[in-house]
Amino acid sequence: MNTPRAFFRKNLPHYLMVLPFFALFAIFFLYPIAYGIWISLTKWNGVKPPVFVGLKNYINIFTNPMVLFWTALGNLGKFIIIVVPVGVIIALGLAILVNQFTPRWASVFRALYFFPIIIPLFLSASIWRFLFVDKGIISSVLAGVGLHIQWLNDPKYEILAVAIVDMWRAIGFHFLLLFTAIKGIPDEYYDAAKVDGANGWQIIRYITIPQLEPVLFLVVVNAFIGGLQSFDLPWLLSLSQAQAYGGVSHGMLFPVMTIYAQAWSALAFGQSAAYAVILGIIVLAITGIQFGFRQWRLSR
Amino acid sequence: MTETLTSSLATKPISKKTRPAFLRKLKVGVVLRWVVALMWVIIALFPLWWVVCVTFSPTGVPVTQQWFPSSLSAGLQKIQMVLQQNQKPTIPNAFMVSLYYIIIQTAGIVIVCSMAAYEFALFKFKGSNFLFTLALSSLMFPLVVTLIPLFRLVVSLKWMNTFQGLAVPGMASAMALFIFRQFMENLPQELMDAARVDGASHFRVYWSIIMPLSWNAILTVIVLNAVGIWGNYLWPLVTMTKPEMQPISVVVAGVAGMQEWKTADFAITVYFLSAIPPIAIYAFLQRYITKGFTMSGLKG
Repeated sequence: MNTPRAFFRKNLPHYLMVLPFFALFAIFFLYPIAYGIWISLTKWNGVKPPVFVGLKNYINIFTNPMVLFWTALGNLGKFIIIVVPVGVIIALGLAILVNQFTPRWASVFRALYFFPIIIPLFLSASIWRFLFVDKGIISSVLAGVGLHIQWLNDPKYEILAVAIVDMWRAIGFHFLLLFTAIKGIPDEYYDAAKVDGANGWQIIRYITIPQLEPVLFLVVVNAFIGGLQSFDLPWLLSLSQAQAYGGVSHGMLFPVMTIYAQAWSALAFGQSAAYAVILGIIVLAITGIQFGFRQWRLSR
Repeated sequence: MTETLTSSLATKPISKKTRPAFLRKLKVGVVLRWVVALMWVIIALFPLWWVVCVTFSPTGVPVTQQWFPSSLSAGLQKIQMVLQQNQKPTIPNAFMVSLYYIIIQTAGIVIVCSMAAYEFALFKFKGSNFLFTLALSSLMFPLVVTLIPLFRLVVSLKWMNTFQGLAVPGMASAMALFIFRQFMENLPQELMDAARVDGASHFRVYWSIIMPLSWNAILTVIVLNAVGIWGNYLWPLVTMTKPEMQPISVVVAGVAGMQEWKTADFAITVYFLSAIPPIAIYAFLQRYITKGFTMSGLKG
């Protein structure tokens, strides 16, 4: 029974069916991760053979001001501080609001709110750049009420511009998740609250929001991870090129932009690979915290 | 008869007093609800509406004055100009490249991932849990970690500027695997037992019983990937260096930076055209998109 032959006769058909997936997975995911870690430990311009340098690339990223690691991280921090609270509050507000309409109208609103997600990011960024330019439609409307903001040229507002476009997109997605979750809350909860004499606000505060907590948490984590990986949007909004990137005073510099530009214009493959590994570790750490937090919540 | 009469008489004075006030209160709430809900509709749709307005307006009208489309013929003329522009990369060519990219990668994803999902959903075999967890864990890694090593791999396979270089690395999609498995798990087990009794082979059961029943999942995966691949920007940007191999994302993003094409009319008309395919997919297959996005958002 336990001979290798019997084992294979029993399991081989299964292994053959999953083989195509895992062959591709090994070649184009597992191997590149290992290979990327190796590249990150070398100095390599892509032409000459790589030279092993140990952790030098990592130290360089943290200490060399030319890499602008801390600038990118600072931008990311500002971005998250705007996007998470504002985006979540608007998405939650809209989800509660739309839930008050009849199902037919609710599904109409859902379809329309989700629309920005369908527009590819490269296209949204390109269109919004035209909306944000000086003498563009946003600037001229704001100038009408006395606000003169140079969205794309003033380092003070660059992150805000990126955040606005990101929220315009992400709110549609977060809305969908929250709205689906709200519809999943059993009616009995609301009925019980009404019997107890709770008013509209109390129902939202003590029933809807606690029930949505897992989704809200997910939305916050997604915003972090999304920001860490964002490239298309800040890259195209700032009209970046591999030689000159990040917008005015690097106000739109995001981590992935450095990785791309340093690898493909400065040919610093080793250092870019190291930067990518750092990002990977940060994302894994956030996911780990999320997972641990969820376990902790469940165990209580 | 008398009973209904008296009851209606009895309620009438009360309703006369309370109804107007009640109605007024209701109205303010309802109107406010509609105003806010519609405001977000306007925000969600405005950027694309603006693109339509500029495309379908005579050349030379300042963009800040175009709130409605005013000339169909001007729009058609611009579209003709864009399609006939013969400097590489041409727009029709970019459309075709994107189309091939979608067809090749999506076909690969559907075949490879559904085969593996069939095993994970319906069978238990040695290592099945480990393999499935391994595949899903790739969803936690940011793609940028593999960007540089994957690029080097494609270079050494001599896959630069080829469709296999563009499409094959993304075929082992953990997300598609997840969607297929979720769906197939709910298929009735009796079907397979019946097939087994008939002596159908392992692969036959997958191909002629499970797959024909999985159209919902197949369509969800196709639609989700088609929209996603249409928007892929960074990967084609690094691997497709020849103009005639660049998909729509790279070409559209390059429009703003190109000297020869610099008129805003040209760029915005290109934006208009490249927004049509995803919007068409969304218009006809909205159900699958929202389902797929909800599943991908709530994974794990």
